[in-house]
Amino acid sequence: MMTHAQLKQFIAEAVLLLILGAAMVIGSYFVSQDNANKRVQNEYHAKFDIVLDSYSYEKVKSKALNDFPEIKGVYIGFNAAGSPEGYVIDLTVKSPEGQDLGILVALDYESTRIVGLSLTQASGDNAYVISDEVMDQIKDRMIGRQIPLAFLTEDSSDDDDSENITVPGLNDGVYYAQRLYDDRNKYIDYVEMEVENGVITKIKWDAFCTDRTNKDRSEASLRGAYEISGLDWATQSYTLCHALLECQDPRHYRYRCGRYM
Amino acid sequence: MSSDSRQLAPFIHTEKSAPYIYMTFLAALVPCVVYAVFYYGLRAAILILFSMAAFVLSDLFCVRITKRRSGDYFDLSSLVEGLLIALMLPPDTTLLTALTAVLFASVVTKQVFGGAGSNIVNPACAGRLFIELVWPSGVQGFAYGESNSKMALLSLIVQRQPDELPSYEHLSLLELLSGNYPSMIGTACIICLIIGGVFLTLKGTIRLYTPVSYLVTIMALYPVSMLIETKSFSFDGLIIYILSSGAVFVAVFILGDLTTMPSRFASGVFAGVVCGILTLITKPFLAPMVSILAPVIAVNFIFSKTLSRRKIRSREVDLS
Amino acid sequence: MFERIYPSKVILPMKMHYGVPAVPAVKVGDYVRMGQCVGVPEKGSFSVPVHSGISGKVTDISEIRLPNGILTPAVTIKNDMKRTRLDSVRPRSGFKLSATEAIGVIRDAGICGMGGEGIPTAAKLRRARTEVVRDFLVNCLQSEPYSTSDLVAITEYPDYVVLGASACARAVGASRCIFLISENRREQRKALANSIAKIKDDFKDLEFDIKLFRERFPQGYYRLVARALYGKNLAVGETIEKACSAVVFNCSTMLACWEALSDNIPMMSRIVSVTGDASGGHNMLVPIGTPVSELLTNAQDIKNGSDRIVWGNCLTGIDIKDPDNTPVVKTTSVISVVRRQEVPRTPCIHCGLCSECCPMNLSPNTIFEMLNQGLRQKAAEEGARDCIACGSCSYVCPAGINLTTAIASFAGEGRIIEINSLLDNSGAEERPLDDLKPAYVGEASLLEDYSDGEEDKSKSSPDSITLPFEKDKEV
Repeated sequence: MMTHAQLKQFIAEAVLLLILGAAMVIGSYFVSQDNANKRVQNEYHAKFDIVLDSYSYEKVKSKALNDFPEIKGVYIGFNAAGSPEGYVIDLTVKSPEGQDLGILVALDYESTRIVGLSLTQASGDNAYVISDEVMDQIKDRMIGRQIPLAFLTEDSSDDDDSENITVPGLNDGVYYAQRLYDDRNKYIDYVEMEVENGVITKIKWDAFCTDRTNKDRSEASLRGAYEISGLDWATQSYTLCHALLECQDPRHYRYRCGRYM
Repeated sequence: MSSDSRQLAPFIHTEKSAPYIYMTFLAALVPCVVYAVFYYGLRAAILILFSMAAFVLSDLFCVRITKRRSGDYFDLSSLVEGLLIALMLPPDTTLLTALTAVLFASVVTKQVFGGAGSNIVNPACAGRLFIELVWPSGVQGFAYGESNSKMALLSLIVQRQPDELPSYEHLSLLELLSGNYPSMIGTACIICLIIGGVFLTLKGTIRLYTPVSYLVTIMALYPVSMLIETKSFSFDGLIIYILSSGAVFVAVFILGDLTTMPSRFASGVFAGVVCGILTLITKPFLAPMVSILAPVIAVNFIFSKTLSRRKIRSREVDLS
Repeated sequence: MFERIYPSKVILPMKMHYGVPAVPAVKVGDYVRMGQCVGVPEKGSFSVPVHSGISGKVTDISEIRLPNGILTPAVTIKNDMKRTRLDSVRPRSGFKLSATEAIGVIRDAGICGMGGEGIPTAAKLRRARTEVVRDFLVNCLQSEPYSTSDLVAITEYPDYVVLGASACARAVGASRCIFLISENRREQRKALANSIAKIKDDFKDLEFDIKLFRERFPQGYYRLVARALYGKNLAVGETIEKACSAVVFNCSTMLACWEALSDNIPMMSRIVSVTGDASGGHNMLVPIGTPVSELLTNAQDIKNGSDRIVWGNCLTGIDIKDPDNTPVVKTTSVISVVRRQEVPRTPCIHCGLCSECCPMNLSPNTIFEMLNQGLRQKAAEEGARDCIACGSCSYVCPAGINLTTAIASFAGEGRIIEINSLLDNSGAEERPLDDLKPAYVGEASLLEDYSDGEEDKSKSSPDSITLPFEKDKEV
């Protein structure tokens, strides 16, 4: 139905179009990707500048986040040199009255210290309104603190970071917490804690390696694969855990962690 | 005088046979396929192949059942229409949804009317519109950006949660032209569409006046509809609407179609204008895809077979 | 620009024009010189004489069937390659002819419409004269695919074409002489414009004009010319003379007319294109009656065997099987050699390309469907009778449907160019022809020296109203 020559010509043309199309698509993708990134960065900047003024932001992709439906997104802020500065966590929590409250929390990259806090204007009638004055007070109290301090606050309205969420006081149970991201040595720290009758009975601080072939950090340090100054890491961790078990008196804790209201 | 051994005049025949026309369409769609596969990966490729294969099989089956003269030729129009349907689907469409569209297009709009070339409305357009109307949630899977995995195949089988399309207002012109934003798998890349359109024009298997008049109508009247709708007008909005709504795809590959569009110049232009006006009128009330496709069907119905009579010939003699 | 052919023999059919056949005026064995009349029209009949383009012996007078189905006696002359000319065939000196004389010369020269319709030019001129036309149109639009013979005529003899046109325009009493030419034929346009500028002063009573047309087949057809130039849609049977007060002649015809008027050369040769997608472009000046095979041997690049030889252009011509015995006739402007081509047949895809290209603005697909369903009345309402059988719709149809044959046979017009006009009355003419032929064979010898006399006569005839030829015949 078609001559051989025609068919041949067609195939040649189709291949030509294929190449042309591929070149155009890929080329334009990379050209426009720059634009798209810029646009996204601008959006991020507009949103996050109040809490963490970074050069660029990148969204965190992690399956672990799926377990926390209240977290809308976690972003890492980078400085101009490209090294990470901190995290921005965008989350919506329910107030005791069942109202939505959008919160942006910025954390320091290394020390999990809160460096910024702001309210995102939750949309809808269901928004929980906090006046600026109150917000300033809250900010005053929160900014500059390490995250664990939040465990003990009684006020749930400014509760944040849901990985470490817990109830006030020491309720019985087994607790677990871990870092979202691996550190420079590709380890993710985690803490396991068991509370019985309001007393911490067991605690373990260790870190597993994202590179699955390697052992946990304590084991690695015992074998000499992970070295830090002073004693090996496993011993240090053990000592620290032990110390916590020993001095779990709330007064001590308070003293160590700083002021409360 | 015409003994049977003798062929009658004319003795030369144009190379543009029906298979040739469909082949040019297939070739012109190649860049769009490249776009689809590059951006959406394996699942787009599978969707395209599946809907082409399904269309061919469905057509063959219908021909077999109705015992119509199947002929000794392979009906390339099935491939073209299957491909067109696939390119108008969102990336996360289940195969079942695609099959529904293909079957509707093949059986109801094509074979019932008598097979290739006898259809009144454009099968691809009708099939796509059908699933948009009966299964609106099935065509809302626009995974893009971080959630877009090129190797993911699950969405072909399980219907994902419908995605909300972001507003296109912040897109830059470059992104709009390259199609670097969530949309249908083949309609977004304007560059690819233009390559296809130019190819078809060079091959002469497209009538340009309907697409051109359609796009010009939209461009001319969009400000009016925008003023009525929002009491404000921005030039960006017009550009964004034209480039991102799929109007260019529809213009090139559906309104440029030889079969379902009027053949005369004046009626072709008229059909394009009517189609553009209908699109703008229905835009505020209907889903975006419906407001793009439904006017095409309407125009097909009204004009394709009625306005094909005599025409006024354009300039023949230079009487200066 | 063109090659000259001296064929080894010529076959001169007596009916190459619209009308009744001429009667052979020679016997087998007679010696014929170049320019000699071998066929004379029966007295008072609508016919034109036939002249030999070569010198040689008459070897055969028999009845042949032309490809278009016309049965006609034909004189076969074997070439002696001496090219002995008739003495009268020489430039006329200081001629001054009245209108009727000019028309008479043209008639005696055996000129008929060379574009293809084959109407005797003299008859057409006379009709135009009685209709009192205003515009004299010269059709230089050769838009058939591949063929360029008319254009070669213009390029090579622009003066002849223009002079012939002006002379004929004067003869019919037209006030304007308009050349119709396609706009992308720049060379020919320039040639015509130059020639017009040269002779303008000699023809002060005539207004010259060149109209540019778009290159499109079949733009040269008179009904299309009428519509393009005058905006009038001619009904079937309506003449352009009546409706638009204009008359159309082919440019090759004008060239032949001027050759007859000035050089006293009867119509014994013409320019034929041998062309097509299976051959290069050739234009040949061949004596009328040259067998097609002789043309093909001269066009060396033709690959023999598988190709199709078409008598006429490849859109409206006729496939011929026997090129050795098929002559070039006065209306043959092109011999096409085209590749055999399998046209894929698919059902109609309703693309509308046929209605897009139809020069008569019909919708061939609609008409074809109506005819297929037997709705002849509806088809006629749709305008099927207007079909001019140009073949464009069949050419362009992607589904390979032979629309032209179906519609044209319904329209009853047959082919516009080669066949139809001749066919129109051939059916009626065939029978009397058979009866007449033997009666005139005897007379042929009597008229043997007629051609001499004819040429002289037309040259010298002072101002008689009767046609020189008819007078001559009475002698």
